[in-house]
Amino acid sequence: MNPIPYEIDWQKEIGKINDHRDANAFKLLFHHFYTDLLSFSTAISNHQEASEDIIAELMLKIWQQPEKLLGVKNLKTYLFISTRNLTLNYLEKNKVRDNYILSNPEITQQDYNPEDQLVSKEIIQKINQAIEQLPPKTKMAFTLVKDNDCSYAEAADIMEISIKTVDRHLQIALAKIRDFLNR
Amino acid sequence: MDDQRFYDLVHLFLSKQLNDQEQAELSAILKADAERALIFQELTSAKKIVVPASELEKRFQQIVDSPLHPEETIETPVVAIKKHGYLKYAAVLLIFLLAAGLIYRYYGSSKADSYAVFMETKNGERKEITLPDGTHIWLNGGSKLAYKHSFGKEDRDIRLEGEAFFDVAHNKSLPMYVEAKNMTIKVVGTSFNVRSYPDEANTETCLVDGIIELYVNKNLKHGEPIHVVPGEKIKIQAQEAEAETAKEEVAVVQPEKLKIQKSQFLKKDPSIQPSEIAWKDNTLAFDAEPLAVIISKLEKWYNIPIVLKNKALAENLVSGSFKDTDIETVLFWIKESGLNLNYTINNNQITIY
Repeated sequence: MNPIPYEIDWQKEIGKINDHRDANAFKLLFHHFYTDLLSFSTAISNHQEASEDIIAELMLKIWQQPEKLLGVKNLKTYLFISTRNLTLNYLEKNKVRDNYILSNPEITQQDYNPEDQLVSKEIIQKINQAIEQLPPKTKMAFTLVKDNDCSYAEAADIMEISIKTVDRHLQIALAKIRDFLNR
Repeated sequence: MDDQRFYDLVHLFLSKQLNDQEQAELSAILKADAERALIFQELTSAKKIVVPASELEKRFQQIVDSPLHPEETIETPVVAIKKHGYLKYAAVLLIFLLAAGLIYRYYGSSKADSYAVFMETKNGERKEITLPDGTHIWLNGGSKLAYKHSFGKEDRDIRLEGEAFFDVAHNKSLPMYVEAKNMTIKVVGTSFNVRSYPDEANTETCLVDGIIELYVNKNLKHGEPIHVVPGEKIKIQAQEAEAETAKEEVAVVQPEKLKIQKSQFLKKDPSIQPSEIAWKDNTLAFDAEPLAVIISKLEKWYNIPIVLKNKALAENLVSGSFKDTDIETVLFWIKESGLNLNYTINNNQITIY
């Protein structure tokens, strides 16, 4: 019988990559995490192209130096922390103020799909705008929990903050989205 | 309905702290208010950047084919970025913002092949769940259920360990596949019960309504499915298990050596609830079942281990129906029904001798 795969044994897969450069094991890892990490990085950087480079670099490191991951207990947390750090480094290097433009609602209020006047589309657009405009840390916490299926504990580990603070960020996120929608 | 309360419930949902009562409250809101249902969907469903499979494969190959540069990669995790001028960068940001909504409107997932959402009940616990496609599921004690992020969009694949009753939302273009121990069931829209615990020899499927196709050994490509019509029960029995009063033997499938039996489970009198599906109405029922099977059901229903010392009792058939009854009363009635058994309850364990 097939037990439900609650979790892939990543230590085993990393072992395979490390021992005989097992491309299948790496492929599993790549496919499992790529879009999650890219989406998370893009949510922080607001720049998908740059985030694609960041994740490519991270994946290259794993493929070429799997030994660094041998002692990692929680691969998901490790990869998200690495992605967060690499993305923040990138922002720092490029001296991008993370809420430049984002703090200016007029610019984002443009309708990028003007022919579509359906109410439901409008709501979806508004929610996306509201999420875009969240403060960086709040957005990070909200993205981790909503899009990356992180528990509070995982999000807390990744952001290196307390579980309580994660909860507070979620509360702020929802309050701001609600305000935006009711505006 | 108070707006703040709705957002509080969304918050609890995201924090995975929603209790049954709040779950019911939320479900009621979502049913009554289409706009809130949409907002809920947008605020809770995962949205990720979608990379086409061919592009993902290309990026994967690029990494695998990269030449090794040990010094560069060991020392600094340098990010290869194009140097944009500041204004240029702002322009890129602006373009991104305009596109962001579009990109993020794709949801679901590129991880179409991995089970990502899990539901679980402990022994003694039962849950009612509504899936993203509207399918309603009752999950009996000690069960696990998994589906993918893409559920309801690209697929309707479910894995089950344990027992569940499915009331499947109709969708002809997206059939549901339920994978359980030694079988896969294909359905379009119907209601049926599956009992498939890893520690029990038999897997039972009971069809109440509609049509299902049952593939033994998960063999979807080869092999003919068994067509099941309402009222039928398909029992798949591992060969090493004790043989039971077979009604009609359908097939013996290699190589797992499974014995498959078809029988009727619906009663002639429609007012009598069949024992197979009574559990979802919080009724524990047995219909001429061996004591050994009943013990397994009692363990899962009451979350208490039961040891059968007197093996001679194992094959005795017992019937009965219990609602809101404690386990001592159930045992008392089994004894009353004429079975010569004694039991002790201590140290959170029941011994029958």
